[in-house]
Amino acid sequence: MLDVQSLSKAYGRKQILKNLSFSVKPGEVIGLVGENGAGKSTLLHILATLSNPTSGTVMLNNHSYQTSIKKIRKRIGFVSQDIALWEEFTVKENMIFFEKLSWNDKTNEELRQLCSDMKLNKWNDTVKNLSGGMKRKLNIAVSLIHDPDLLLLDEPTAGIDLKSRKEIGSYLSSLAKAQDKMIIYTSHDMDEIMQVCDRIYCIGDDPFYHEVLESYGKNPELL
Amino acid sequence: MKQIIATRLMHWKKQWISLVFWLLFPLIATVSITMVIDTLQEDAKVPVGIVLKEQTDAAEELVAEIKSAPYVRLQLLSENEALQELEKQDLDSVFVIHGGFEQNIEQDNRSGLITGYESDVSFAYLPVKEMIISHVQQETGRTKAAYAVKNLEQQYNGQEEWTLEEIKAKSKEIQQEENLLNTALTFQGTPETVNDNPRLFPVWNLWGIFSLLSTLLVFDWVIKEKQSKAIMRLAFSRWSLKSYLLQNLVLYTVVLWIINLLAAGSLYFIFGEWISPANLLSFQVLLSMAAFLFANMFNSPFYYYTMSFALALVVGVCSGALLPSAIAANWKWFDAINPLNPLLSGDYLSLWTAAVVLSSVLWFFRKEQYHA
Repeated sequence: MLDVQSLSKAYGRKQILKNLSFSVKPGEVIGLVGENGAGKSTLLHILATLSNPTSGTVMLNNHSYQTSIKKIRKRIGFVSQDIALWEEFTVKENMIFFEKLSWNDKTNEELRQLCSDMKLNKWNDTVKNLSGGMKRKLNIAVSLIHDPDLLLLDEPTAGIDLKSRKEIGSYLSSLAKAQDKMIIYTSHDMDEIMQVCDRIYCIGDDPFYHEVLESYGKNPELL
Repeated sequence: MKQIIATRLMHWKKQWISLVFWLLFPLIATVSITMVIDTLQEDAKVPVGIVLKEQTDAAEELVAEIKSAPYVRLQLLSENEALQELEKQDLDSVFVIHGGFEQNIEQDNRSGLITGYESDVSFAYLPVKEMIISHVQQETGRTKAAYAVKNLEQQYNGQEEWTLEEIKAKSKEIQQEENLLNTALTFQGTPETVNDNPRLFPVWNLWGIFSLLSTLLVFDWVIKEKQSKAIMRLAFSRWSLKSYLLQNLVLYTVVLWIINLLAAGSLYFIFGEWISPANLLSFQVLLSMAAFLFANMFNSPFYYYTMSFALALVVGVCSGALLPSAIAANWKWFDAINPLNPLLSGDYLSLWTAAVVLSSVLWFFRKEQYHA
């Protein structure tokens, strides 16, 4: 379980996140929505241990972020907005490369299965020759090599076609349920958020997102 | 480390052409430049023709003596050929060693041994003539000395019964051992050996500069990988960014050292120039650490390449490799700031070693940051 209490983040005098408290249970997919600059990516970076909060506490499976960062990182998968892959490598080489650096040993068959589960079948194609959707799928697959408990995705479907978006959404949804993973997900696509997420957190003061979500019949939780 | 080697091999597989080029570059460039310079130096020597009318040891020794002169290129020809070439001014001068040369020397007969020809544009005639006269005097003197020793032996009823050849051979041996031209001369300082045939650009100096450039260019992986979005994943991997970079630094250093050993073997085989493996290792460790730290200062490979070429040029000038040795020899402080000095002198510790080690410590304790 992920437990966030009174989390704040400021860059100098600029307050980005103010006193956030929430929790995520295993098997839940959480959507984070909000205007640009509201602090969605900042929150994900803090939850991914890539940035420190100004104040507040975060616990993952009863391990504190302040004291057990190495243990915590083993349990986190992070998918950034950027494609964090070796462009000149094939899909197979990227999977093997990051498996070698991972804590978990996996066979080539297991790695291939992970890609197949995401409907990524271009095993021997070079990343630079893949479509945007395929790159995004591989970006997620690489983050899952070490079987993380908490998967953080920062706009994982930005700029890709509807079919790939649906495939990624339904994979994440089934992954959370089947393997009890906690998934936190940011997106500007409300249809996608509605389809994939169990709960939705809205960051920032802009009433626009509340109104949009209410029009979908959802009651977002305010952060 | 096994995993780091595996991941590095995956990168190398993608860049093998440029990697192999830059790994072999110091050897290829050094061999090419040295061979071109040697050829030019050989072509710049004064051509002198020798006509040998007898094939005795004394005559061949004289030829070897002339041949050893650094600025003379010797050609053995028949008398007619030699004189024709002299007329065409393809030869600077011609010396004919007449028959009975050895016998005349043994009989202390110094006239009519050699005939010399020169043209109106000859300028090596006089020095070569002096060299021949000096050699003939030396050999006749040696023969006289041998007779004197023999007479003394008979006069004092010596039991040794040395032959003239044995006495002359001993004389030559002593001369070789105490050759003044190669003796270490000392004047208020450390002795320095006089090399009578120095290379214009010393082989290991040249190799050192090319090796510096090659190491810098090979280490562009530090910039490329640090700037890659993929490197952010190291935060969620078995190794930290620092650990990943350091293990790769060690791997690159070992590979470069192995290539250096191959280069050392090749340079020894081609030019007879040797350097110890330990010396090469300490130099490569210094270079790799310096290139690694230098690459860490850049975000753009283009600026890094530009600065690497500029740095190699500056080091080339400062190291004395591209400066006339007489100028560099007068500046003792040059040795201290010369980055190639540890390689050339065999000293493991230098100003550069201290600077690189200190910078490495500072880098190691710097806070690690990941940019997602």
